[in-house]
Amino acid sequence: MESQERSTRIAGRWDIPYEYAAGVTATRFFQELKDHQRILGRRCPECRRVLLPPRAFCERCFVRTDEWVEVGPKGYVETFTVTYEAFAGLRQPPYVIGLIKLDGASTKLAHFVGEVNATKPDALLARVKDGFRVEAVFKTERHGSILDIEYFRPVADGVRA
Amino acid sequence: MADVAIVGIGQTTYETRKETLSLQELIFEAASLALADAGVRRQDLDSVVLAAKDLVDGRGISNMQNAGPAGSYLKDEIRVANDGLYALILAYMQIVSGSSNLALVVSWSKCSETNLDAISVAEFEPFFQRPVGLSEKVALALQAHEVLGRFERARAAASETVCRARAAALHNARAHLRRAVTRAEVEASEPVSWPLRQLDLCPASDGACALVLAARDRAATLCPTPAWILGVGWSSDGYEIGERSLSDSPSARRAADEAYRGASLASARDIDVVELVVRSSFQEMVVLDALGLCAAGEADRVIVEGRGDDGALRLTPSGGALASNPVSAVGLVAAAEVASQVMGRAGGHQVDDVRLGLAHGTSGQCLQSNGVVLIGAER
Amino acid sequence: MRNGRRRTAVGVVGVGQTRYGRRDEVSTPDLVFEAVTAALAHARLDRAEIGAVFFASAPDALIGVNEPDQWCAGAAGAVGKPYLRISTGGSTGSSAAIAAYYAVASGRCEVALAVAVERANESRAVQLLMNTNFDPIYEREFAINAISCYALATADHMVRYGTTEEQLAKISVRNHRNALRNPYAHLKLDITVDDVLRSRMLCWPVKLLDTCPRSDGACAIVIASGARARDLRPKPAWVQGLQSFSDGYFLGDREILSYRDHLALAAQEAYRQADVIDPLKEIDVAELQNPFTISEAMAVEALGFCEVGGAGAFVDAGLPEMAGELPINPSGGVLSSNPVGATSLVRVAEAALQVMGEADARQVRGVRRALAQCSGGAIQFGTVVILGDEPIGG
Repeated sequence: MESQERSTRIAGRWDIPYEYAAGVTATRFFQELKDHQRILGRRCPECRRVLLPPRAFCERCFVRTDEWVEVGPKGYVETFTVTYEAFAGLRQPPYVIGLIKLDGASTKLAHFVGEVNATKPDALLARVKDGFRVEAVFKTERHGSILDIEYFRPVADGVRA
Repeated sequence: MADVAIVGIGQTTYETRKETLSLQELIFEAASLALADAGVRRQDLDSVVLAAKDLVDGRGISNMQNAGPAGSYLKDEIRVANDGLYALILAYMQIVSGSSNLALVVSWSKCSETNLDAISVAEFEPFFQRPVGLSEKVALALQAHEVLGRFERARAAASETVCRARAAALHNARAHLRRAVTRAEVEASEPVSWPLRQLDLCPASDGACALVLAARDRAATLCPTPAWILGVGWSSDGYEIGERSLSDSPSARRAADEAYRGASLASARDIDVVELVVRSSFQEMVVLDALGLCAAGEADRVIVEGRGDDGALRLTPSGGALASNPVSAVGLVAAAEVASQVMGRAGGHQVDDVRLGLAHGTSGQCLQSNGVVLIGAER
Repeated sequence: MRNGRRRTAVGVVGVGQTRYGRRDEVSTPDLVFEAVTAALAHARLDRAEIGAVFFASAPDALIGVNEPDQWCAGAAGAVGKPYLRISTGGSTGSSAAIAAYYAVASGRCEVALAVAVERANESRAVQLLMNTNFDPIYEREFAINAISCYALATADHMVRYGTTEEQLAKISVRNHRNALRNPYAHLKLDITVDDVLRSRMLCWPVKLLDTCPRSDGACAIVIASGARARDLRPKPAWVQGLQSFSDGYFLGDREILSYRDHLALAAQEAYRQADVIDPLKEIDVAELQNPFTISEAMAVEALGFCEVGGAGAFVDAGLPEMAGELPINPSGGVLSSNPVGATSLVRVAEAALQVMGEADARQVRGVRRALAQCSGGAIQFGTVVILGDEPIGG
């Protein structure tokens, strides 16, 4: 016969504040977004990759990066997903997140893709296959964060993938 | 004959706020320093062993973001969630098992990004301990109370521990707190949780530390005077602070015994320098006693008088955690400091004639778990 | 890479698992105790003989107690013993097994225990805390979480290789069906491809049945060195190959967002250690860590079971079925049970049971060699463990 013993639950919550130091490199990047609506990558002197988001060092060559390189504001969405599920504490769906290869960058940037029909992902997939060209849309009020770029929107400028 | 040696050391300075560096950049600095010191490149590494805590880092699975700056790109990387000394112990076993020839061990803390008190509350289980307000400071205070009961001169010894640590730190160019204090100052500092006062506790420091470990043959080609790992021991006691005596640490005893046996150490007297990790001033006498570094029951007297029966106590010349506390890394710092002493590279805080040193690290509350590593000049 | 030491033979001699799913009636230490006692009983060992204990759980916020290893020290049998905690995200459990391997192979002890536990059902905000795994400086604001990350990889695979949602759905169907024969499994579902395709869309193209449940549970394994292992058990599952690699963190740094590079390199090294030349022929069964259907697709390619981009065809040809050339996940895999911090140890445990011939209704016939593949982070950490009925070395 199964035991009738109870097991109760105790509520808990972690309330741990953080203030993450962005470092000089990220800070400069954010400053450029805010003041000049420019997107800067950082080049590794050894492998020559232009890293976006920019980093103070290249983890493959393990040396400090030494050069700022302006990239974008246009590029290609190489991969994307559309979130439909509302996750506790995260933004209201639907929204499209893409990995975007900006002109001049060697790595892709994760960011939102806007002004697209989020209910038709198959259509978006077809666009990726053909070369999904996008451009950065900056917010009018910027604060020095990656979200100073509001999203990337489709642009038809004749450049093929 | 020793199988593994420390062939490179990298430490950043320890400070309240390393404002211009992101956490990744801090880690990169320590890792780069160690690699340069060993004269090896990241590509030469077989493995990377990390010690880090998600909550201190403020990033879940923090080694996702922090493995890269620690040199792990397309490398065999593993992370322990205990104090940095345990990463050293795991890397040691990894090399002895034949799985690696050259390992980088890295640990860090950027305490300025968070609130350690809030984190420490989360360390207590939610059923019986959190509701009654247990936090690390409260637990340390309970421990201090028990220590007062065991050692007659405990309060004086605890104060002396702080004074000596702070005085030593004046000679350590990397140390965080660089102001000497007196016993009177310690005992008059702000009460935190009886009997602990503000100066009985460690600061919160930003900083990182890295060591390069090499297998025997590799060490011989890399470094003329490596610091050999001669003995390793580590052990754990139970979690419940009400179920064990907080004025003693059986796990520290077992860890020391195992390390001494491994090094075929005739007597603890052969140890020339010791770097202990303490989370409060009252812990030093407990650890000293448990590691057999003084006659049983004499730890308070030895600390107050500054000498054991066989001479001056060469204890924590770096200043230790009471002067510099990059929380999850302190045990690795202890090992780095002992290795520096053995290699004759401890600069302004070098102790004379060091052939053999002991590095201690701890994990869990109130010395629940301890590790001991013996490091020496000879194989 | 090896430092020329003769490798000690090390084998798995005991396995313990709890039932996976909602375990409201027990606390976290209870779960740990359940798995550890089961493993010790299976190995016919007393706790006194364990020389070191390795605890795995990740990430901390899922369990809600910081330093859960300290809390669970008693339950893990670790009081009085060398004890440490490994934490590497989804691959944590297998990393703990590897740490236990180091302890035994280095001669530090003859017998070691690895135990991993998960309490995902206690967290009220799983994807929010998964979001904290992502870089707060550049990425966290994008609400990237575990699901959207693998959704990106799925979309990429479809674009690059023409893999279809139907092919991925077949992976789900097979894993769920296999779980029907696993008494420990959380979800036991008899579903069709249509059921998968019609299930709720989470992050396109990942649907509910393309992904895993949230399970509580614990798993433990006992590892012993050569002579001791032979004393304990007629057929230990010998470690023949074992390797991990970590990739870069930023998803956008990868030329191709997949398991290639880190997992393919780990597999190559593990195969080299185990003297495996043709994995499809020489591996008799595989346990792959598949929190998403795409995980399994990427894994079979990186492991060399098929060519890159060939995962769809591999599935269509029925190769991973129980009666196929290389049965994958007789346990039902992670799609059926996902005790996050323990899941990768479960892969090693299930692979061990297959080699020992003790996998009951899910046993594949004639297993001489089994492979466990584990993953962690956001498509970042990869581990391969090869177990067989013969030791390599001592």
